[in-house]
Amino acid sequence: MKRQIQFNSQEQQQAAQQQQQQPAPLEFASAEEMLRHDALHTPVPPGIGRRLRESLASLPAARVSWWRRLFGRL
Amino acid sequence: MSKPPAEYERADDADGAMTAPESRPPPVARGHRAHPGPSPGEAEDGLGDSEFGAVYHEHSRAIFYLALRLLGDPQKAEDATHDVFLKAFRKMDQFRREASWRTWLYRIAINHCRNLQQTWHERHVFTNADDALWETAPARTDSPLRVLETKELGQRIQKALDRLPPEYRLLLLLVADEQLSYEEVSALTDQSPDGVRGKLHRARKAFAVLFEKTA
Repeated sequence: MKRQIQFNSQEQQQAAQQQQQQPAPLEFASAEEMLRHDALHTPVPPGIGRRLRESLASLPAARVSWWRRLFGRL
Repeated sequence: MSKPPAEYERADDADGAMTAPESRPPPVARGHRAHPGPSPGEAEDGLGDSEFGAVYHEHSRAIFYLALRLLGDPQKAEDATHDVFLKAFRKMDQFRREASWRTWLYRIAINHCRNLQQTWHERHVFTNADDALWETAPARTDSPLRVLETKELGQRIQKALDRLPPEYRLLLLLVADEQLSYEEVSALTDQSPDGVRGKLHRARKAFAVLFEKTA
């Protein structure tokens, strides 16, 4: 009986330790704070940058009118 | 409910508050820049150290997040972000520097997303946002439970935002960006700063009610 009581108390200690180790639930003071947290944990897909680079590379060179070429930017 | 720490109190915060989470980033005065640091893929996209590259690296996260939460679909948000920055590049010489880069980019993004939503609405195209994979970037100290919480939080946020009136949704997303002042938010939403504050109060309440229903 004594051994069983000790085993139960060990179980309780382990359960208490596990509860302490679990992170606290997320809490926010406002909707904006929640959105900021969400934004902070939302990475930008790296494919956007690569696609953008390719798109920029395929853009035609900007045509400059003859008078701007002659007189420079007014 | 316990009162939030003093540094998080604002004069217009009339709503109740809960305790602050332990992983909150340091507060930034409204309208000032935070310094999030370079993103992991910054060196890989090849946009380089040009002015446009710097603009992209600094503002892409904010623009992508706005597009994601307005459109509710990661792929559409990715396409929209690409299109927004492409438009911005083409119009860079027209940017008069009277507003900040971010405000200007937000304006392009808002108009772009509105056009997309109008087109989809007219075509009766429905996307099932519930099946979308919400990619989240776990911090190094995050436990698996925290990663799951973050992912589920994103899904719940999207569901709540989808049910909000569009003006409340946009307002909350813009106000959440601390780099925007209330004046800039009011310019982007075509209303006065006082109108922003009044509507913000109602938007917060509506969001809180809808968010609770997603549990």
